[in-house]
Amino acid sequence: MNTPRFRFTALLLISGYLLVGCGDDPTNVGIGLIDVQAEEPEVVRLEASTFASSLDPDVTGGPLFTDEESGASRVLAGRVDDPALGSITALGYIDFVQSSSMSDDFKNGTISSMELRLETDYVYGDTLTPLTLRLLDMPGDWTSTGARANTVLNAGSPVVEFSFLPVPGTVSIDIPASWIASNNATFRRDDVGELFHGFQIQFVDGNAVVGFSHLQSIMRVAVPGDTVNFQITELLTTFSKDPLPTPSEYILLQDGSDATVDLSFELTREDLSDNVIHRSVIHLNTAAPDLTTPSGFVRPSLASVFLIAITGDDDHRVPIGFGLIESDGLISFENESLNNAVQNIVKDIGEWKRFEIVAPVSENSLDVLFLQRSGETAPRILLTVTSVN
Amino acid sequence: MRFVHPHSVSYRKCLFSALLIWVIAGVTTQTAIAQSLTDGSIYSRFGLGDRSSFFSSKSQGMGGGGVAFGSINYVNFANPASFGDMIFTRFSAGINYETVTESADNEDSSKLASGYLNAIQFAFPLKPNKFGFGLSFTPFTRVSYRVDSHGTIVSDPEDGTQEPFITSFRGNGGLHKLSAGLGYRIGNSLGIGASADFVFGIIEETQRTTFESIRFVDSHIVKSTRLSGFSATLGIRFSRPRLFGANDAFSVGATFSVPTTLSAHRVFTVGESEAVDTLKTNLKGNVDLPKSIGVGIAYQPNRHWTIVADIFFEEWSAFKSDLAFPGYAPGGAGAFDDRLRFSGGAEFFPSARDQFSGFFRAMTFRLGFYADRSYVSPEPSTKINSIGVTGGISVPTLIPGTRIDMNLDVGRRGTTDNGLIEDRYIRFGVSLNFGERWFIQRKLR
Repeated sequence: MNTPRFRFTALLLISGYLLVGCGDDPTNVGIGLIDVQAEEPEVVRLEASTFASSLDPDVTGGPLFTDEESGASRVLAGRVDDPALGSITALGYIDFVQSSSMSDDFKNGTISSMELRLETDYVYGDTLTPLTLRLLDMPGDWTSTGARANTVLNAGSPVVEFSFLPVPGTVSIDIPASWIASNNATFRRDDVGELFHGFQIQFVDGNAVVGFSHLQSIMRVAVPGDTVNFQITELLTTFSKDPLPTPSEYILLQDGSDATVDLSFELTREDLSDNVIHRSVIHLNTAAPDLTTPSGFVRPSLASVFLIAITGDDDHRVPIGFGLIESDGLISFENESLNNAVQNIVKDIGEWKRFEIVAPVSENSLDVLFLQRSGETAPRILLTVTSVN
Repeated sequence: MRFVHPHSVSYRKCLFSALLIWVIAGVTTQTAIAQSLTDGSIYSRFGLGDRSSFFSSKSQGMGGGGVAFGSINYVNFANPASFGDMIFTRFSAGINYETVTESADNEDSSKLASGYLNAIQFAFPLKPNKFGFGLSFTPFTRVSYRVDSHGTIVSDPEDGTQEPFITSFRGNGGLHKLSAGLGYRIGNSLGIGASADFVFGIIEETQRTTFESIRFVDSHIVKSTRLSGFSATLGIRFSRPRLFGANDAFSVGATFSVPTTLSAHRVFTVGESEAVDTLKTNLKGNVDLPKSIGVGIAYQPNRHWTIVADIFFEEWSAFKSDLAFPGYAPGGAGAFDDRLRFSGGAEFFPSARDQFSGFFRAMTFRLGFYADRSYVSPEPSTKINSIGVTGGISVPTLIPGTRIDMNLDVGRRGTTDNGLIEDRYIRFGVSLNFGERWFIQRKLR
């Protein structure tokens, strides 16, 4: 009797299971009997409550041989008198160290020539008028790590002046024999990095600011029969500015000098506190004011900006968004980090309190960007929220 | 008589056990994977949930009553007085799988499925046929519903981008009852019993908004209410053999569950993801459960047939709570109706006490019906009534004293009038009832 018993019981179990059926197809049947705990999602648009240039100077220092990624990648020097924006003077600082070990022949020889090869990879200003710059000896040690555009460093005596047409390319500067002679022993020692402190690059004449790539610029030091290359280890640019007023409907974001714009929204208002934030998008609109420039005058524009979240005490700043300027001039920030930051501000928990728009530090330029500050295209945040009852 | 090789019996036992495990695992696995097995009727949202009772798989096949009947194959947890009838130690466990088709006027229907543990019961005689102990873990109320609302939002008014989303309203959980009781038989006719009942559980309501686009963070808002408290049930049963004939038996029973107060703790959380929840409110209070009374009769015209009829009354009109529940606001006395449930059923046992009958004659067949007036109604002018028919088959196994019971419950609840919902449901339950002589001291011969 056992086999029929087993089969019959199995048949009953399976039949019962199949009879009931399976599958789930929930619909909105019964929605009228639900007391919602929250409303349906909606979009809330908030215009910026704060949108103004910060006077904080940009980070323009950038060490080469460190793990830091935020350092500047070029040094700027020169002066430009922009007919629309005013005058900016850039003072550059570079320091070197030998890129390879010195041979005994080099150490025992006498330096016959020194050549500085600066690779111009950035130009802002009049490209038709020669630019004259001056190298000055740096008398003491200095550091570029985290240094900002308002850093003040004292330079020593002039080394050499050089002129060139401010266009992309290589500028070769021969260091005078007198300076070589007085530094002959220094550049043949292994500890030259501790004895030599680099140059200041000072504006003399012209109407342009140029940028020299730290990776492609070298100093060649030669003795008869041997040559050692020195690479830039530290670089820094400081700026002084005599700006013209910017039209009130715009905010000028200029890398290097006015590289930061404070941005905040009224996210802590009471009617938002009980909302769940599904999505946060910050929109900025760029502007293209009619800024006439003379022939041959180049004014590069920023191609991207960062969104930084900042704590209430300003102690912590973390990049939480990267925005490319789209073809229609719109910059949008949208990601999970931004949404989390906004949710925390709304609930008044966590450390983030406001935002900043900044130019990328690593570029180190004087690129400009005009941002709309009022009207329909004013900076705004679109929040997709669910209001909790 | 046929003799079976011992190895063959052992093999089939294993095979049989494997089949049972497969069925139970099949249901529970689907619970885990599909997440659909907590989806049920919207009416379970109201009050403390859908009242649910499970006394035994025998009573479930006979309409769900059973205050008066006794059995040597089952422990009757409908009435603690019946614990005194026990001869064997008994263990029982069962699961239910249920589908509900909800429909409303001028709307599509919604098909929902849920699976859940029916009961775990354990009982043994302290003195066979005289004094017994029973322990059971059974559902008391059950909250299990799901309503999905589909919508679209213009997420970026500047470019008109639209995003579809689903707002899903779900409820799950409910109260369970852990009962420990004693039953004592006074003479041949009267039995009395009492049980201490610990009523506890969590009722959780969730509103989850999910977007198709990964650029949106889903949200979930959870209202979770934890309740617990003690109650007690008293029972009495009177049986009289040979009332109308030589082989008949008649019994009548009654139970009374005392009103009690549960302590409640409610937590309201709002989360933007699965990981992070923010506490919004935290409430505490008391919830008064009403008294309930059950009365039943059972009649066995002969050894093959048993007929039962029961009526249960629960005074939910006296329900009070410091916390609000769907359909009830604090201070709203009389928000609920008294619950009334009537059931009847019959069992046919072809072999009766013939232990040498064949497999099919050793099976038991049951049929029943019930009518239930719910204690809640979303629309006060319209009562929510349920009617259903039940059926069951009890199959003997190779293990003496052990049976597998399969029950089916097909019913309808509610109405589509006044904006309400009509449920049509099918429940399939499987229970394993194990019986053995434990704890009985053998007499020396």
